[in-house]
Amino acid sequence: MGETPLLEIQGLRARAGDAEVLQGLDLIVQPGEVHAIMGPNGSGKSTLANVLAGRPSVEVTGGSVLYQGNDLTTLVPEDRAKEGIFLAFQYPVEIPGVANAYFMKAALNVARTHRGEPELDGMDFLEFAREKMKLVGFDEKLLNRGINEGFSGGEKKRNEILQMAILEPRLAILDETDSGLDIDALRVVADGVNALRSPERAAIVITHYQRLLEYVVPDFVHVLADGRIVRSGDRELALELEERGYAWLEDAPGETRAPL
Amino acid sequence: MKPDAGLEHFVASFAANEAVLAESSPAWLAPLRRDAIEKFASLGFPTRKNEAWKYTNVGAIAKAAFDPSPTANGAVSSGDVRALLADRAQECTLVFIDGRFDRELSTPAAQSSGLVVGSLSDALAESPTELRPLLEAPDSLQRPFTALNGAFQRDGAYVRVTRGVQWEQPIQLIFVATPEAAGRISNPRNLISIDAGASAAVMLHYASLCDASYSTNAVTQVRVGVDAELDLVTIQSESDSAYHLSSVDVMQDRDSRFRSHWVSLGGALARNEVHARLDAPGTDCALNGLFVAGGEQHVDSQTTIDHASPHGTSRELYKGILDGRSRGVFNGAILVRPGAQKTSAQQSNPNLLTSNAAHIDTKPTLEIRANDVKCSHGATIGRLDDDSLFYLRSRGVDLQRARKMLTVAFASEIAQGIPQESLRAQVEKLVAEKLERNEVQPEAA
Repeated sequence: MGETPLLEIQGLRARAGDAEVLQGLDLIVQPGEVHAIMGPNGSGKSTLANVLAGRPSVEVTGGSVLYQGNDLTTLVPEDRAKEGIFLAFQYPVEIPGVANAYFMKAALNVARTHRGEPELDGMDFLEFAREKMKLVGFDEKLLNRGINEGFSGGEKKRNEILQMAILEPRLAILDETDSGLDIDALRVVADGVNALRSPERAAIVITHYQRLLEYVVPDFVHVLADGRIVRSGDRELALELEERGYAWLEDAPGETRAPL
Repeated sequence: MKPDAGLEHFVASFAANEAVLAESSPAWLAPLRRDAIEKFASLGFPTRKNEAWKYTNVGAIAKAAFDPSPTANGAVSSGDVRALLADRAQECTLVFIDGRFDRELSTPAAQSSGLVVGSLSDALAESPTELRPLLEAPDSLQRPFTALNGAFQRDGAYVRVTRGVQWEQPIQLIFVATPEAAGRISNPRNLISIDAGASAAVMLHYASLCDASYSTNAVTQVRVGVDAELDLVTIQSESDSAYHLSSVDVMQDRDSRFRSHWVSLGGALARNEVHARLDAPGTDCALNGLFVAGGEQHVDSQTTIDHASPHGTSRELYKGILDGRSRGVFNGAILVRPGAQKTSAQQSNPNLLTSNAAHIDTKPTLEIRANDVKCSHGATIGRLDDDSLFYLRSRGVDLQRARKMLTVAFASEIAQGIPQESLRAQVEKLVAEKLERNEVQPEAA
């Protein structure tokens, strides 16, 4: 092995509201890998995404999360973003009054400054963003509206993928980005993830359906249940879940680990 | 000094200055002034027992015994004035320095254009009979500070847009306080009249070139004629040590459209009043406001929309942003009189508190005495939305900047409602600067 994992989670416990949702979760993500995380509602998928992005209302109560070998849990959300973590939200908020373009340019320039690159001015940003908008089929007119203001469900998800494409994160986490999307939009999400695939980057794709995994072929599939990963495998596992549901896993104790 | 002593101070000042005040105005104004000081003496400084002043204590104004006597004003350069203008074209611009009209810095309108924009004292000298009814005992004289203004008024702006004239360029009325204003009170009186079928946009900007303690006590009377239209943008950016009191009384005639956009940023204490009377059928009235306060500032917005006639529409949106240990007051009354059927009235007052020590008292009231009306009102008090903050931060925007983005976004709706681009840009700029100042002040414990 030798190489430092991009992400190393051990025995993670986390509380969201009154409930301890994550109850000893282990996961290792190496650079270059795509991991799919599946599981029934309430199993802790979104909580995991929120722990990684640093949502203040989710409290880590045990275990460790190392990102590039360093403790991630002490970083504020904006510093995680600077270090290359990106969360595509399940329910992106609407923020009227903050123009999409202004916000994205600000976010991109934070990332560029952090990487030691010069900031882009308005013109250069627009040129850069146009290319990305074409990639995700994002209507340029939406750029000057407030963030997600009055966007359809599909437009909101495209906006998440657009931001991902612009920010080029090292670790992208997609929290059920595929839910509620038609096949075209699903392809956009998949293309967005695939475009970022490289030996240095990784992605965690949280999904309810194996449909997305036809387009984003994962290296590993994990099943989350009751706040722990109860089974890991490859793409075949997703197909099996599709066929048989989750119930059979709960009946079957014993745990398999992803080959490291 | 007790409030009574403050009262005596103004009564004595009036006696001492009556002759000087009379020098520059028509003879019939003298008894009006005397009536006004008597009214003020009988009303006295408002106390918190008065419902309209429940949350605002003007003891400091009574105590300060500001000098109302007309003395020389300070020096202001044309560069200083340019910085206060929204529209650099500088046409139809009147500048008042420490309450006095400055002819040099002003650009009154040419008479031929169907427009009168000039100083009220000039207008009184030229055509007193036309203006006399406007200055004679308006209802608003029942308010103490309006009465005080009536006694000491000496100058102000006179704007008249004559029948059918569509005047596009903003008419800019600038009131500047210089260091000479320290310890003094100015009492500008403005008259704005938009005749039948005419339209215009007027900006009232109360600004300061000093951080002295002084008071501005302004009264503006507005008449919007039959089928006429007016956007009135009021910007209050006085010194943070100043006491700003101002009221706008609007009378709307049939099928007229009036929109007030009021932005209150400065002052140790600011009291902003706008009272609109929808006096004839088919009128449309919009009262929009934004008050931003920080530190120890106190800002009080009082509004009345009086639906006195049928088929009137009113929309009111007042937003407050309070930081530091500041206090805000919103008291918005909507009255639908008997017979004002088919009235549609909407009022809302959302407030954003950006510190734990900031405080708002909000009192939207609705009094309906007609049965075929559609009315709604409400107020909210909130903090910055956690989910929105997290969203911005998750993209790398740091907490302080994310807070600022959301605060600016909350404020932006009021500027967006100003149709004139130059006025909107001016408001946006001044609001951004104010929010910037709020931010650098350390948060109170």
